[in-house]
Amino acid sequence: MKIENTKAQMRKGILEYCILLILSKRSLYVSDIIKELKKSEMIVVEGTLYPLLTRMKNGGLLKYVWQESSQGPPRKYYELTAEGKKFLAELGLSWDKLVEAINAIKNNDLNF
Amino acid sequence: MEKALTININGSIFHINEDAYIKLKTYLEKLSRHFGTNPDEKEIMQDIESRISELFHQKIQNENKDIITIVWVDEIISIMGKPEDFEDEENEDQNQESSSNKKIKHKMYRDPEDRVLGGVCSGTGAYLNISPLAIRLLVFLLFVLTGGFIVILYIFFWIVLPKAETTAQRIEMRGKEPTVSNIEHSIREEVKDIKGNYKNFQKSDSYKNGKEKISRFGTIFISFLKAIIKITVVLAGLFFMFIGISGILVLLLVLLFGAQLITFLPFWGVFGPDLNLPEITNLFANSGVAIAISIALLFFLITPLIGIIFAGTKIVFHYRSNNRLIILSGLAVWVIAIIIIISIGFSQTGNFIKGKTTTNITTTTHSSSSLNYGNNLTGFNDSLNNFKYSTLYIHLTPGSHSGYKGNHFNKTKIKTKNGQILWIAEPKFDIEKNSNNKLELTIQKSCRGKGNKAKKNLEQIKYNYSLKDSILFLDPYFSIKEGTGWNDQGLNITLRIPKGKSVFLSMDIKKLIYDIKNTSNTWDGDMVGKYWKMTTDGLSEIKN
Repeated sequence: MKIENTKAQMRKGILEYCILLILSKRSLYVSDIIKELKKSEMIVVEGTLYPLLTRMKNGGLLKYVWQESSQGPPRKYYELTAEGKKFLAELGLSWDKLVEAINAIKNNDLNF
Repeated sequence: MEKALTININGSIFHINEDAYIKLKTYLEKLSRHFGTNPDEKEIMQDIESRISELFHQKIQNENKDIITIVWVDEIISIMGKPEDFEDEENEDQNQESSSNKKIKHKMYRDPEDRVLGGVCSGTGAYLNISPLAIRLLVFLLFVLTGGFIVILYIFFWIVLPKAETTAQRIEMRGKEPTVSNIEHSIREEVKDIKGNYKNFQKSDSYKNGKEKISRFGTIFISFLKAIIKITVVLAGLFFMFIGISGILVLLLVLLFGAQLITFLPFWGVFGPDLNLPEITNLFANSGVAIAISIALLFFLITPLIGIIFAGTKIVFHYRSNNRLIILSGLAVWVIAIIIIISIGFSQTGNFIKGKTTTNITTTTHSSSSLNYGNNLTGFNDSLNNFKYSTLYIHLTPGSHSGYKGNHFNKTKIKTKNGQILWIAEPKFDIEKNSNNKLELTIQKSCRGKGNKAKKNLEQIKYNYSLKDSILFLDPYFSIKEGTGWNDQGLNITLRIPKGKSVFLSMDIKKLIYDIKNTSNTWDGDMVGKYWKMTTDGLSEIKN
């Protein structure tokens, strides 16, 4: 078993949640999203993000608006839709439960 | 010094070194392929390109350089990630996608990186996952066996197969899964599908409802049909290739060596063209015209055959090619060939159809005045005058029928005898009743055409015969002086015998006899080896 694989699997599961979280604060341009995700080491390569964003947009969780940019062509700024917000809220609940469960397993001594 | 290009990424213009450009292009193609099965491929690629464009803008600003180098491209690739890097980061949907991605298109290319000539053998080897060396040995073997014919096929593939230049094409060339043969593999897959479906069908022995049954049966039927179609298509492609290749082979053999050879080959023996290039060349007095029409004829016949091979190879091996260009240029060649053939044909037949000219040379006992046509007639005339036997024996001139080698065209033959090229044809021999009491031999020469030219042509026809005691010797062929050109030259020998005289037709003149009338209506071929007597009603057999 490679640790990297397991890590990647873990990241993979929560990547969508992270994107929704980042975008819940304000609308962002892709490279800003990438910056945020890289900071928290959520993604390694940027290429992963584009199909994900497109899929989430097509799934109705995200939408984007074109904004003029001082350098180069206009940029896509992503933001959450109403559905995306609902989705995020639900994911937040299940995330909390997960954290709780993991902490419980971690901290409790196993008494058989 | 390096060559630089100007490119447009997402609406921004960049200068880029050539090597960097190739790398970037290959990378983008790879990405595009990776997302190829994703319905949002276009959008994803556009996002990626706009991001790359932005990264380059930043680079240019930060490093104060105007040109994209390969180092930058490498950097961009490491930031964006290779398709391999995505695999473990993507979620389920993408995973499914990447697994379906394994069904990469398998196409035939030429391999420019491992080539002796055009890379056809290495490309084929890569396609079939066989060592190119094995293919080369096979090709060499075929080269020896077919007498170099395989060269045509090689050139054909060289023209139609594209080079595998990009990484994407190289991947396509090999296919992702190593299989002995992609064709075999895909057929096996198909068969497996059927088996699986059938097993499922058997397992569901509950046969819950008729609807399910029908739909299951439907899927089995469809996959079965698919497999049948696939196999049929591949077989049809192979058949096309076989027909085309053997057709060209036959055509070349026939054109070079004459029509006899093709009778040994299956299929084409029956339908093969009855042609012979050297002979066709001789049909026309003007050799330039002859060469032109030979070449036109070759293209006329070979173009459709190449088309058939092309279609066949397209069906069996899926490869990319500029179909329209190939078909149009093939059609153009074909039409030009037809035009040439027709125009030459018209100019040549103009003379041919003008009419028929004949001359008669008669030697007879009828008159004492000599009929001295040709060299050997005076003596012959005397001999016939003094003919005192009751039976005239008719034989072929001894030794005259042997030693010929060569081919024939429409009864006219080109043979060599003692190293000399002879243009010869068979005369027609007939026996008629003579109303007077004399033996009479008439030689009638004929050819197509009118006027002096035709007369001259007739003079070039030579025929030998002789009389020795009671035996009339006839040559099996008359000859036409080389270079006269084929004008449907003919020679009729008519022997007129009076009532009461007999003839013996020897076995060896069977070929010359042409429709000799007789009282018993015996066929020409059955008349030989027998004695015949001229009666009031005509020739009748003398039975011992």
